[in-house]
Formats: sequence, C-alpha cells, structure tokens
Amino acid sequence: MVGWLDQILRWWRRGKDGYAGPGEKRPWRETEAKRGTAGPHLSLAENLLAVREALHPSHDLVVREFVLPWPGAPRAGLVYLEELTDADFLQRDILAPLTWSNGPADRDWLAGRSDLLGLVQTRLLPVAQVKRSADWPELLQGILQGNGVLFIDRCQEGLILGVKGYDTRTISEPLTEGVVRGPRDGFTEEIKINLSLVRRRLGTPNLAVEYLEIGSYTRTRVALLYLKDLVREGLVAEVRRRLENIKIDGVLESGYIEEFIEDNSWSIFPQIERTERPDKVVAGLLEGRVAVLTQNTPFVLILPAVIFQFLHSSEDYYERPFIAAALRFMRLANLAVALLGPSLYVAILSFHQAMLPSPLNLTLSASRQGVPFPIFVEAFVMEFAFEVLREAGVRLPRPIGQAVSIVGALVIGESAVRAGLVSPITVIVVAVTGIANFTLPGFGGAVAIRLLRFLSIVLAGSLGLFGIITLLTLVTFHLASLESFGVPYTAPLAPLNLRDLKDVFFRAPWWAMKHRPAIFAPKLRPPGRRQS
Amino acid sequence: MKGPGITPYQFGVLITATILATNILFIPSNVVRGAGEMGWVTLLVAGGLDIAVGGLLFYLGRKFPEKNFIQYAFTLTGVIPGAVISFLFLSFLLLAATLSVRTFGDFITENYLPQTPPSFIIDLVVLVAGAGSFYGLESIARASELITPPALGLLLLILALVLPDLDLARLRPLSFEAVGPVLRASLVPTALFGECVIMGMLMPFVQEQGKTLLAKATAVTVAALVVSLLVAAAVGVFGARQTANFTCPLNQLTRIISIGGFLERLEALFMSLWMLTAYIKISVFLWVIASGLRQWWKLTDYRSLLVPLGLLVALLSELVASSCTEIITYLEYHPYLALPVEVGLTSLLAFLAWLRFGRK
Repeated sequence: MVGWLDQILRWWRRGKDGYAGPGEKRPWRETEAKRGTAGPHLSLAENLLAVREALHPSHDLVVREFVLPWPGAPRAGLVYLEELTDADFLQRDILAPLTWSNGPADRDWLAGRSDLLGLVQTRLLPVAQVKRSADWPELLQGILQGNGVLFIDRCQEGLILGVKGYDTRTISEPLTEGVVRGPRDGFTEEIKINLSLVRRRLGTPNLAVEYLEIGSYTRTRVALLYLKDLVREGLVAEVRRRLENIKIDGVLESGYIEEFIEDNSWSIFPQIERTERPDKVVAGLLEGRVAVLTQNTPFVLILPAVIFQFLHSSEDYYERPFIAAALRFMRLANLAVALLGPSLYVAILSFHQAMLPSPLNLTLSASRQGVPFPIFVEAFVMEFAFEVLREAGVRLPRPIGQAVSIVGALVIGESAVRAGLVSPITVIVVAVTGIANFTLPGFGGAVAIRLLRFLSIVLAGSLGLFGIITLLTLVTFHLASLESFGVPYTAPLAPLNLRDLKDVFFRAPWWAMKHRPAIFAPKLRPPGRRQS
Repeated sequence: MKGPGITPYQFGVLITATILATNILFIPSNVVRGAGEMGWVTLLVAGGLDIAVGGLLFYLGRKFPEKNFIQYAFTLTGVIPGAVISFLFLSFLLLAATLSVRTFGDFITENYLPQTPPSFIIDLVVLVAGAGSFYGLESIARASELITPPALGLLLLILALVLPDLDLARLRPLSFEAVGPVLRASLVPTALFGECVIMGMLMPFVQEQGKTLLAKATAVTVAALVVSLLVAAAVGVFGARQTANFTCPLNQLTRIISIGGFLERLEALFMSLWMLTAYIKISVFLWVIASGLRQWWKLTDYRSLLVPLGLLVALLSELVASSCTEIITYLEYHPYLALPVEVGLTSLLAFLAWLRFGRK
C-alpha cells in the first residue's frame, strides 16, 4: 500500500515539465531546417525561392527584386510580409536609397568592392535596426516578425531590417483595475509599448530587461523585468529556469505562463499577481519582485505574490493612509461576507436558530413563511442564479447585457419573492454577498472566493457551523502550505514579520516606510522613502 | 519536511493552540469540582509544572540537537528499552489524539447536530486534520499562526464582555490553607498541559533552538493565564457549585453575554475558536505520531503513514468513549496514565542524559 501511496505522492508533486503541446514535439529549429532548402544560398534566385517555399502558401509575402544603383552592381531582393511592415518606411528609407541612380555620391567607389552586404548596411541604409545574419531560421523568423529581409546576389547572408509597422491599440484606462486617484494608463497588447510604460517610470540603469521566446508555434515574446540591485538572489535564475522549461505550442495570454511557472497548479488561489497597471508593476519591481511581460496581452505577471496583495488596490498607496487603512479593513470585512455570508445564513437558519436574538429570529422565520424549499436549496439556487446573471452580463453584447442584468435582478428577483418561491431576506443576503465580492481588487482571488462560497453553502447546509469551520480550517491549511517562488503565501502574517505588517491591514504613511518588505528579501535595504 | 523549520514564535503558538484546545471545554468544571473557588489556581500550577517538564525536554534537546524524543531515547537507553519507550510515548500521544477527536465528535453531536452519528464527524475531522499534517509541520505552524492569536483575542474579548456580570465575592473564600485539594485537583490539568511533551518531537525543527524554552514558557504562561482567568470568571458569574455542574462552563459563560441587546449569544464564536484550535492540535499530533513512527521504523517519508494512522485514530475513537460524560469521567483517571509518560519518561531520559553526557 505504501508503494502506491508513494506513486500518488509523486503524481501530486510532479513537475510541470511533462507537457509538450500537441503536434510536433521536436524543437522547432529542427523542423524548420528540414522544410524547403535550407539557406542562405549564394545565389539570390535560390534564396528567394527558398523563402517562398518555406512560407508557401503565403499570398501576403512580397518579394521585390531590383538592381543596386551602380555600374555592374548585382541584383538584390527584399522580402517582407505586407501586413506587418510599414510600406511608407520601406519605400522611403530602403528602396529609395538602394534603387535611385542619383543615390550616394560615391557609388562609383562602391562598384567592385568585395563585402557588398556590409557596405550596404553601413553606408547606404538609413535604417535604425539592421541585423546581418547567416542563420536561415533567424532570417525566416525575421520575416515572420514583421521585418524586411534583404538578400544580395553572390552574398551568402541576409540583412534583417527593422521596418515593423502594424496597428496597435492605443494606451487606455485599465478596465479591470480602475482607480479614483492614480495614473490612468494601462498596458496594451504590444510589449514594446508596455515596456515603455515601465521604463519611463524607472529612471535607474539597474532595470534589467531580458527577452525570451515561448511557444514553438506562436514564438511569443516574453520579457523578464527586475531591478538588478533589489531582486533576491537566485529568484531571477529560478524564474528564468521555469520559463525556459515551458514546452507548449502556443502562448496566447500570460495565463498560460502563469500556470506553467506557479508553484502549485492544484490550488484555486492564484500564486502570481496579474495586473494591467504599469504603476503596480513598478511598485512590484521596487519591492524586489520580478515582472513578466507577454506579447499580445495587457496582463503582466508579478511574482512572487502573497495573499494579502489580493486585498490591496494601487489606490491605497495614493490616498491618505487613514483612508487606505479604512478601505483595507472594509475589504477584509467584505472578504468575510463574500465567503461566509450565505453559508452562515444557511447554517444558522437550519441548525442554530438559538444563536439569534429572538426578534431577529421571528423576523427571519416570518419572511420565510410559505417558502416551499429548505433554506439550503433556496440560498444555493439564488447564488447560482446570481452567477448566471453575472456571466450573462459579461458575455452578452454590452447594451443587451445591461438590459439582461436589470431584467434578471429586478424583475426575476421581485417576481420570485412575490410568488413566494424565495424569501426576501435570501435575496438580500445573496445580493450583498455578490456586491461584497466585487469590492475585492484581485480578480483571481475573488474568483477563488466565489468557488469556495458554493462549497461552504453545501457544508453549512449539511453540517452547520461545524461544516463552515471545517472548510475554513482546510482552506487555512491549504493557504499555509502554498509558497510562491520560495515566499510563504500567507507572509508576512505567517511566518510573522512585524515590520512588514506596516503594509498589510493598514498602510503606514510613506515617510514611515523606511524598509522594503523583508518577505521578498531584497539584497539591499537602504533607507528610502519611495518604497512600499 | 520542506523549508528550514519553524520559528520559536510558531512553536509557541502551536503549544498555545494545543493547550487551549484541550483545556477550554471540560477542564474548567473539572477543576472547580476538585478545588472549588480556588479552581483557577490549579491551572497556574499545571502551567508551572508543564514549564518544568519543558525545561527537562529543553535540556535533552540541547544535549542532542537535531534529534527528537524517539531518537535520543534510542541513543540513551539502547535498542530494546528505546523501542519500549518509543512505544509508550507514541501510544500515549495516540491516546491523546484519539481523545481529542472523540471529544470533537461527541461535543458537536450532542450540542449542535444531534441526528448526525459522531463517527461521521470524527471521520471528517480526521480527514481534515490529516490533510493538515500531510502538508507538513511548516504548514501546520503557519496555520496555527493565523488561527491562534485571533483565538486568544476572542477569549480575552469574551472575558471582557462578561465583566458586567462578574461578582468577585463568589470567588471567596480565598483559602490558602486548601493546598491539598488544589494540588490534587491540579493533576488533571497537569496531565492535559503535559501533552506539550510534543515539544520533544518539535524541537529539532525549531530554528533558534536556544529560544525554544522561552517560547514554550511564554506560550504555556499565556495559555494558563487565559484559561485560569476564564475559570475565575465562570466561578465569579455562576458560583462554584453551578460551574462544577456544567459540562462546559465557558460555553455557558459566552451565552450570558448581552451587550446592548444586540451582541449576544456568542457561543458560536467560542465554539468556532475551539474547533479551530482543536483542528490545529489534532493535525500537529498526527504529524508528531507519524514522524515519530517514521524515525523509529526508519522510513523515508512520514506521509505514507498518515492513512493507516488516520484510520487507526478514527477506529480507536470509537472505542475510547461514547459520550461527553464518559470522557469527563475518564479524565479523572487520565493523569495516572498520562503523567508517568509525560513526567516519568522525560525525567528518566533527562536523568540518563545527565548521567552519561552531563558531566562532560
């Protein structure tokens, strides 16, 4: 028996390296090299043919052939994908200098030189980003990422020209994390814009930016950001190791990466913070944490994360400390209501009526008169209906969504009460719970609470207060067992760090925050007033 | 076990949780039955004795750092006596865990869920506490850190809220001549406080071992003071005779709280904090027993033992008692079983350690 228990244990703790996406399991470079005739070749025609073959069929591939503008010059070919490049830029700054006969004055001198590609690169092209490469996969990759690639006859190399130009969403206010006071810019889908939002908040040369590429098909660009002098030793190496171990065919959102690199995937609690707000990312970096930016998504991952951060909003740091403290206590209370409200209601009404003061008890019983269902069924169904309405509101087109929520909330609720199917108190409890849940800033954490709420209603309906406490104990044990990149998930409350408590239930005034949080253990802790 | 062990503070809250879980239900009426108005003193006596035992364990732990009770029992006495001592020690802990689980089941069924069979409650408790010990000592310690301070705070809140109903005259006579009855009544709480011999098993995992005794003494003092104050409050509110007749006087105490006609009947709060500390206690005991067996049988991981151990505890709890009344009756005899292990074995080992390694 001990043997299969060991098996179960091993499965429980198994690493996340096992998954290699569907389809090709070989490294992509290998498959790439097999396809078409791997180049680059010496002859231009062969190179262009090889590109066409490799990307066939791609009707959006543009191959522009021309002759370099000096006597006896060889032919050249520019290859690019039309939708990813900036046509104006290509014409003005690449094709013009390379084709116009009244180009550079010393073009006579150019004739007959040996390293043509180098000369074109250094003397003729007014392009900022140019990379010379003899690596075929890299050249192909360059085309696919929106660069132009220039081949010249009798040169067994190519030039990758940075001429990217595609439309991106402009910077707008983050939808999921609005604030009353604070910066209004949010991340977009373009990683460069996102990086710029971070860079322009951090003037220090210590900001490190590392690019990685994840996903054998999507080749999604991922940036690893940290402050070299603040980050805990070994953390970056560990994050990099986990990122490099990801084997998947596609990364469409940072959620993919989150699931791969988090410590315990079998938990309903998110162990990595995600945000759309650049100020939050910078605050995280200043605490000695690491940020992971992903191409094509506005959601940035910050790690390690502790549970209390899901109760914090970035506004807490901009408002006056008293208000911040009051808001945080309110959120804690809301957390309790969102988790336990309906289940306490069910438990008390089904098992422990004696706990209520008599007038309240009478009111409650009177309001439930004639309701044909047990309180458990009533509360569970109403909670379920609430979730249905909420989901419908998210899915439906925006104008209809509002109509549905009004009809759902007002009409159905009112009629259900009128018809005597539900007691008005249940409706109140469910509504208050739902609204309390919305005040929790961390979306991932709030979803976990929603799931637990249903479980606790079931336990309260079957075992009363004992069931609720059992669930709470189990959740506490589970939370206590979680770690996020070596940081206990319940820190700084357990293990207790008194100094770090200055930014948990309340926020100390900025001038009193003289130490960075020790739970993220940055290497260096100088007195500084700007850190949380 | 993952990570580098637990902090002295975490060790302290574990001890506090263990003491609270065992002592706030039946002990108040027990000691008042034995020592009358002086019942609250017995808890202080028990706390003092337990700190003394803690001193012996601390001495042993310092002599054998990195070794737990089972390991130095073998080192000090040899293979066969070591096995006997380990067996006695672990069986006693098993009994303590079983008693706790049984109390949990009976108390819940008798007070809140009269139609639910206690076995169901017991199985659920063992399952949840077993999950806790599966997660490891560090997790239990962190959970205890989250649970114990609020629990203590709530107990103090209850104490503050019954102040209006308190009549200190009921605590008289303060007879210091009644040393005999007080000492005799102290036996039961001493046996229950003595369950903190788990210190011998936890000490190798405490990060700053030198502070273990301080942590233990503080934890025991705080717990003993709080329970003793609550016993005094119960006597002050109900009088000694009525307090002795209650099954759980502190539960009754929370029932009389009424502030402004709104804040009343807080027994749910009391029950919740008791259940939370009991969960902590049971899971730490399961962990201690499983890791003790692991040391004894030289296994690689204690986790494989948790399933058979949990089954054993659930089965034994069917045998150990069948109602709260039986448990209360049994508690009178518990010291004769518990003290030889808690005090006897510990003193024996400490004496042997002093004899063999002490004079160097």
